[in-house]
Parts: sequence; C-alpha cells; structure tokens
Amino acid sequence: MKNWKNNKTLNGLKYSGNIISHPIQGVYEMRFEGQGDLGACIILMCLFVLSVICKQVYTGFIFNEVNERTYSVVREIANVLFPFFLWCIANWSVTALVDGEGRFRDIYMSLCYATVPCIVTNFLYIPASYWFTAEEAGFLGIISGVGTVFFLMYAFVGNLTVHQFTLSKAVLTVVLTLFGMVFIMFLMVLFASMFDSLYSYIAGVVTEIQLRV
Amino acid sequence: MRKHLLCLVLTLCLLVCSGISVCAEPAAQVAAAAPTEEGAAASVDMPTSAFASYTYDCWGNTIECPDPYALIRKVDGVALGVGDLKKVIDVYAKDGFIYLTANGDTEKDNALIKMDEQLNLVSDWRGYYDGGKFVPFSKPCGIFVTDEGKIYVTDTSTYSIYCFSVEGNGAAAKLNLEKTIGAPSVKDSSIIDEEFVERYIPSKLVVDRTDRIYVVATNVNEGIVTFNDEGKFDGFLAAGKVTIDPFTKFMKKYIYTDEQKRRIQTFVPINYNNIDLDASGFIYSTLAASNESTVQAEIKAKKGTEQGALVRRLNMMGSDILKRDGYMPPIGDADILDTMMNKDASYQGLSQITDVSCGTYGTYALLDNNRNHIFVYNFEGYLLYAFSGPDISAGGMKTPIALAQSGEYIYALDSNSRSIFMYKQTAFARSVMKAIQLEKDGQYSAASEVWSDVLDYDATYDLAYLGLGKTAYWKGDYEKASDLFKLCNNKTWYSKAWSELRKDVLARWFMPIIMTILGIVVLVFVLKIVKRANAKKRKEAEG
Repeated sequence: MKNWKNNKTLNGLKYSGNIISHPIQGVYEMRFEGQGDLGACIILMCLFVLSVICKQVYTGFIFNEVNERTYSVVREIANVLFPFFLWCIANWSVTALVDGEGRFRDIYMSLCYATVPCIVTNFLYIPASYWFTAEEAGFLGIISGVGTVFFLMYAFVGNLTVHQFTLSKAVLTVVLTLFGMVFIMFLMVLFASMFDSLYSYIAGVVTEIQLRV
Repeated sequence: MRKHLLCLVLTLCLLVCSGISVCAEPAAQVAAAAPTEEGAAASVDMPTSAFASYTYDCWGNTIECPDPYALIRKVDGVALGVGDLKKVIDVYAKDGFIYLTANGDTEKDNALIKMDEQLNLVSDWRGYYDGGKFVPFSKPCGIFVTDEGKIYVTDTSTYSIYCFSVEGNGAAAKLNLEKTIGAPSVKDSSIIDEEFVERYIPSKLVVDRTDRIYVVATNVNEGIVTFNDEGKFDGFLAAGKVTIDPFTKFMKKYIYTDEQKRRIQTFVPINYNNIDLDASGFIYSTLAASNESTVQAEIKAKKGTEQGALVRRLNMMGSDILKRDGYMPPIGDADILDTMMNKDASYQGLSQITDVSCGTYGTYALLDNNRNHIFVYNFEGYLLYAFSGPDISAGGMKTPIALAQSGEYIYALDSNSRSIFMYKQTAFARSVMKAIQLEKDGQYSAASEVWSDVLDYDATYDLAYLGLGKTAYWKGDYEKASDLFKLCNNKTWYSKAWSELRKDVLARWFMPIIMTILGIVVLVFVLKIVKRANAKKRKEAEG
C-alpha cells in the first residue's frame, strides 16, 4: 500500500493519457526519457485482446456474428497477437537497416499505447450494439471506425517518433515493413513444410529400421 | 512458498473449471434431446424408411426435419399402358391433370400423355389433326397448358411451337392444331440475324393470360425469347445485365485500341434452362450459374442477389423481383463449401437447378439434378424443406429432369428410369402449408395455432418459431416476439421487434434520465452560486 503512488506499472498505465493527448511528445519522452513502463504495455495489450474478444462475443443479438459451434477463443487471440508481433518484428528488422533509433522494446511499447483508443471504442461498441437496430448499423460502424482510424494514426505517429524519422521516410518504412511481414510469413511456411518433410523422412527411416531389425 | 501456493490455487481453479464444463455438457445434451423425443412421439404416422429431409439454419448447417413428402407411386410407360417411353422430356400439371411429353428416335416414340392426379392414363396422343388430316408428332419437348385448356408444345425438330385444342373426352379425345408459331423471323425484328434463327431451338415455354409466349431456347444466351399474341417474335426478356467495373471503364477510355474495344463482350451471356408461371402471372425461371464463385460468395455471405441467382422471378419488364430474405439464398444446397473439402463425397459442387415449379400460396419448388434433391421455398425465400435424394432405395431419383406440382402432390420426371415419381405431402408439410396459407390470408392467430402443431412434429423447425413470433409481433406483444425471433435466429425480425420495444424503454426512462441530468445541472449551478456568495462574504469579512 505504501508504494501505491510510486508503482511503476500504475504510472505506466496513467502515462497512456499523456500519449493520447500529446502523441509525439509522449512517445519521445517514452523513448528518450524513460517514461512509460513495459509491464503496463503488456497489460494494455492483454486489454486490447480482451476488448476484441468481448466485442465479438458480447455484442447484442442483432450484430452478433459469432457462431458458437465453431468459435474458438484461442484462434481469435492468435488472430490479434500474431499480426501484432509480426509487425513489431518486421518493423524492427526494417528500421535496423534504415537507421531507425527505436529498440524493439520501444516499437512494441509505442504500438501498445496506440491501442488505447481502440480498447475504449471496442468496449463502447458493446452497450451501443444492444441499443441500435439493424437499420442504424451505421452508428456502430462510426464507433468502430473511429477506433480503427485513431489506432492507425497513433501507431504511425508513435513509430515515426520512436525512430526519429521524417514523414516520407516513415511512410517508406511502413511499406517496407508490410513487405517484411509477407516475407516472414513466407519463410515460416517454408520452414514448416521443410520440417514436415524432415520429420516424415526421419519417421520413414525409423520405421525402416524397425522393420529390418 | 508463496509462489508454490499460487501455483496450487491456479491448478485447482483450472481443475474446477474443466470439471464444470464437463459436467455442463451432458446436461445440455439432455435438454436438447428432450424436445426431439416429444416430436418423435407426435409424428408416429410419418413414413419410417425414407431419404433424409432437412432445412438450413442461419449458419448454413443442415438441420434434419421430418419428411415433408413421401414417394407413393412410381410409374413408367409400361405401367401406364402406353408402351415403353424412350425419352421422357417434360411434365406439366394443370387443373388436376398431369401432362407428359416423350420422344425418341422413331416416330412412334413421340408421345403426349395426359394423366389424372393419381397417374392413371387419360389420353395418349401420338399426333394431332391439322384440318382433318392426322399428323404425327416429330419431336415434342416443352409443354404448357393454358387456363382455357389449350395445349402448347414446342418441337425441337421443326423449331416450332404448336398450339392445340382438345376435342372430345378421355381416350377418344383428339388434338386439333390451332396455330403454329415458327422460329423467329428476321423480318419481324432488327435485333436478330440469320445466325440466331439458325441456332434457335425452342425448349421449355409458358404462355401468359394475354397469349404472349415465353420460350427458353437451347443455344440462346440472350435471354428468354418472347412472342406476341399473334406469334411474331417480340424480343428478349431478362437478358444478362452488363456490369462495368471502374477498371474496365478506365482501360476502355484511355488504354484499349478500337480493335480491343470491339472484342470486349458487351453483354453477359445468360443460360436459362427452365421456366414456369406462378398464380399471379409472374415468370419463374431457372438458370445455370454463369459464375460459380459469385454464387459461393453469396452462400458465404448468406445474402442472395440477382448476380448469383439460380432462380429468378421476372415481371413483364424482365426485372428480377424474387424475395431472398431466407437464412440462405434460394440456390439449393448451401453446405457445399464443406463438402468440397471432403474429397470422397460423390456429389460435389453447386446444386444444378434444372426445373422450377410454382405451388400454392407463393411457394415454389426447385429441382437439383446434382444431388437430386427437391427444395421447397416460400414466397419470402425461406427454405421450407429439402427432400428426396440420389438414393433410389430410399425413394430418391437417379437423374431428375422436370418437376410439376398439383395440389398436395409433387411429380418429378426421372430420365434414367424413364418414369414419373409421385410424392405426396405428409401431415408435417400439410401443416406448414396450412400455416403459410393462413399467414397469407392475414389470419395470424389461426396461423400461430398451426405453427404450434408444426412444432409438435419438429421442435427445431425455425420457421415455426418465426411464424409464432410474427403473430406475437402483429398482436403487439413485442417482448414475446423478440424472444421467439431470437430462438429462430432471425435478426431482421428481431430488429423490428426491438425497435418497437425500444420505444417503451425510451418512454419509461426518458423523463427520469432527463430529470436527473437537469437536477445535476441545477445542483451544480446552486453550488456555484453558494460558493460565490460565500467567497463574497469572506471577502467582505476580510475587507
């Protein structure tokens, strides 16, 4: 109780307010002046995943698209986290080549802080979906649209500030990062199929030996 | 030590959670099983050995339902007493009589047969009288009978349509030629050329009340060929629509050469393959899917449009006015996306809708000759039930080609066994039809009683809950209605009920909420004034 006010994680969570109100300055201080907290960012990321899942599961009947027979929470978590980390890794790899100043930790943290508007709108979406009828679906579209647009904006500005890029260079790295993501996925598929053949080869050899000996 | 304790607690939690989920499952199964048992008890009089009938739920899963129709007779030419029919072509039902066309390689195989509803022979015609002279049929194909009893038959060897009137009764009746409508002539219209006249072969037809003739022709992909009441070529109905995407438009304007522009097809070919006329005089027409991926996308989106349609309802302007509000668009089988993953399935791909037959109260039946099912839809596009199938031993068909409906019977023509299958409605389908009829007449409370009967046959029948919900909705009991709409997963109707319910919620809570907000505002004001007064006082006291 005595450290309540000096709790780093709590302060880190509070710091998201600074980033929302002053994105460039907030992220700059996070990168270069040790503001923000990694633990808080992990909590924010978990909240983001939770908000996405709640938005799918607890949406009102009219807008609920979840098929209970086939819905899998694990798959939905992977659906959010996989691109999330893929982006971080691809961005880190690309910016290391073009002299970005951000460390992996900063890239990750700036992205986590950028999800805050999305978390808010996702949780707003749920009660709103109970109120509106099918004809008023546009209002819900606005709610989630605002969340997405702000998320993309903060993520871009955060990335730009973390690496201390100019605008044009930031746009270029975003495009390169997207290519990097595709490339990483390609490599993953390649490795998966390679290990698959390796496994079947070893399994084949083992069966052969078992049958001969 | 604390860490260990935490671990222990977590493991315990996990165990308890998994225990709960394991315990909960059998309970849910028991709850689900209870109503079906009830349904089975009530439907003792249903036929036992049969094909698997089903409907689709809102996710596109097949939901078993009681058999709506049962195969009661199967008649071929020999059983009918007219000799072996080489090739059965088309069947049509009118006023309790069934008409059948058959042809073959020799002249004596060409026949036009009239039967009563129970498939007993009435007349067996092998030709017609043209001014007192007997003329044998050459290759009869499509058949249509008008309200006045005139019989229209298309002929695929003379490319003509013959109109006959019937003289006499029973076996002695004979056909008199009234008029002949030949192939469209280039003289009548400028939109056709010699090449079209050459490839035109009339196949199936309907004739509307004003004696206009609508013909589905083989080798013609411009639309349905129409003739006016004098038998002159009139034009094409419901031709393929031209859709231009921005990309093509851009390319045409700036990039393509004149030669390339000329080569781009300006119309979408459309292959109608069958046609029927409903009670209100609208044309139902089936067509082959021009683009399978469009149809599959619509199945996936659960929203049918004209683009991916396999059946259309056309008005006289040729626009599609078919309602497609059902859980699945009216395209036959919807779970094909899953079966395509299953490579061992013997029947793959989209349903091949080959015939449509309009029934009573706006319902219509579609015939699929891929999986040999018959689908019955209501006028809103909800699938009532699908039945029959490829299993002959279970009352299914091998290669169905044509469909007709008369009263509570459905007749399907099977080209493989060269016979006509007669399906009769069961008590279940009769109840469903009765409820649809009552709903159409606006007798909602009577309809809801019949829908409750339907639930006795099948407790998982979504349309019954929808019907009950609609009754509650029209009565103004929106809370019950919304519960029922939720039960049958109908979002459109739930939304309607909720928008009514919401008014009540607003009416009840609007004043309290506004008063509270006003109260808070007033309170804040009062506090501010008091504060200011206090500050003033203090200042005065200080000053």
